[in-house]
Amino acid sequence: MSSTFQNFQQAKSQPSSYQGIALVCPVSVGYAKQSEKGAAYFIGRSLGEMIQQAGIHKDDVDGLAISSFSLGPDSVISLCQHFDISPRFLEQLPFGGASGVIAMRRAARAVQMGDADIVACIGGDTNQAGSFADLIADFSTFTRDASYPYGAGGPNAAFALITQHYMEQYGATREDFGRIAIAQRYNANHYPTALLGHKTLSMDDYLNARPIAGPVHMFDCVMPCAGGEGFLMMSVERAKFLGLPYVSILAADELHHAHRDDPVQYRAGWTLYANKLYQQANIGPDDIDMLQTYDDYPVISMMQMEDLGFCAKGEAKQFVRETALTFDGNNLGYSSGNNCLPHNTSGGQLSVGQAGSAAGFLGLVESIRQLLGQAEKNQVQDARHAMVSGYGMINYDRGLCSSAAILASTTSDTAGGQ
Amino acid sequence: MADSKQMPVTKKRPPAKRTNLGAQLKPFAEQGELRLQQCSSCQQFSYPPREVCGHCLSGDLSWQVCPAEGQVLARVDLHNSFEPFYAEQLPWVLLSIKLDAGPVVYAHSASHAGLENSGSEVEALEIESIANSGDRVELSLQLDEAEAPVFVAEPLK
Ligand SMILES: [Zn+2]
Repeated sequence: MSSTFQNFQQAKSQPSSYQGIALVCPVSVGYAKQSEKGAAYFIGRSLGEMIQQAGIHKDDVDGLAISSFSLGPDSVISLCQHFDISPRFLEQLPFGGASGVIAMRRAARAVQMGDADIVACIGGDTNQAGSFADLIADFSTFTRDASYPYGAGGPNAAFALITQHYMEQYGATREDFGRIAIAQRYNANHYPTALLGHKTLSMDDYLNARPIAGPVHMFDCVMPCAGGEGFLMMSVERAKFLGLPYVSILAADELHHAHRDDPVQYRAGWTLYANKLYQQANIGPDDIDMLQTYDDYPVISMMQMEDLGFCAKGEAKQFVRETALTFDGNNLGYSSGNNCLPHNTSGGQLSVGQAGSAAGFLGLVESIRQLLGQAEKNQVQDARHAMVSGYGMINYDRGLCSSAAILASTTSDTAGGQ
Repeated sequence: MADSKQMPVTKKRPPAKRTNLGAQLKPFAEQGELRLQQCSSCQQFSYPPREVCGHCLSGDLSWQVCPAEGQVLARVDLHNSFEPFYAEQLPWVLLSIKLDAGPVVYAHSASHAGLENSGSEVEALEIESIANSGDRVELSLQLDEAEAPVFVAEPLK
């Protein structure tokens, strides 16, 4: 890189504190494999459940930060008339798997700066017959010209190429990916909303699954579904006034289309800000009590484990061999040693289902629930800090978006919101 | 007679839809010329097709003959496709290739491309003729069964 670029890097400002911001009322709504309802149903019902939990009126919500693939031709402004509300802050975040953390960042600044008092952050999508096929057939101009015509419809093929390259480069095996999928299924077995939570998954099941593309088999792929995920954002002062328990943001960042000269993706933007997140949060990876990665495929979760500092690049295979990834530390016989890092504690998309853009909120909403102690059978004991990361938008051959946040329960000593 | 006439109509085709820019590759595919967008300001090749240069943002891109050699980044066999044309011919080989000229392209494998000029020989081809990761390949631009432009890669001997 040129010296001018390095100087520019040095001069780059950092995100200021998220102090004073409260995340409250996490909801996961309406999960179904398919639905005849439109996206507005899942967004609207998420909003309805949140305000009921918060004990507020819909007119108290003066900001909306919305993500949806299936809302078209409507947009967030259409929702104002549909829901009959008059917000003074609107955001629509078309960032798929990174949209939850990005919505949270935008909303937090709006609340800090007085542009809104209560922002509803929601990802919601429907899944109607054929709608997933339609989405992937025309996802972007680049996919239309350069990947879809080759049979590489949808993300499976792009991720198969990424997975194949990663396996050849770092020696990760299908069993290693299986450890992630199986631990998540165990977590889902304890989370009633998970659409696959009623089924168990063994290593034999995993390894003998139907092949999809290259090394990617059925249990490496998410099941598209309908659903909504969301939470409310407000000041700590307001949360206290309303008597709402809340979670704080210790640090958050995003970076898109980073490492763009890598011919094949094996890392994403997290590598360039993970250290700054830990610095701002004043904790390290060892202090993280749960990790929620964007698991559209297990290889992407491995990249996040590496890029967010839980292990070195290429060492996620060893990490998952030595670390219990379940919410309760059960190693299920698939990992050795005493290490434990609860990972995708609701089952992740692999076992909950991928409700379009709502999947980009899944780990964030689950983290808020966990840190509030409101998870039920899958509650992580004594959880104080969560790392949540987002990833998304396969515009051609790689995911472009990266986002990540460190959240804290407000009973923990490092919580940022006083 | 009627049956043979109807055959082409009912036969499954690969997806023919392209952007306006992507469709501009068709005449070069007809001529068997490998062309990509090249920038008149910085001389870099860009792909997938785009409106401005991906290096210097110049708007002055034109289709120029591009060096055809590259290296396979990864190869996968597709066992699933939403497109009936591919779904009926699984597994289908998909290659990602880093061209020496810069861009990364997805390409069919010449030995399993289902192209009209490869006809019924497809079944008989040997596994070794399919490129794998790390292999050097030569890329060509051809018309597929939907008369749409696609890249096809062949291992360099
Ligand atoms: Zn240029």
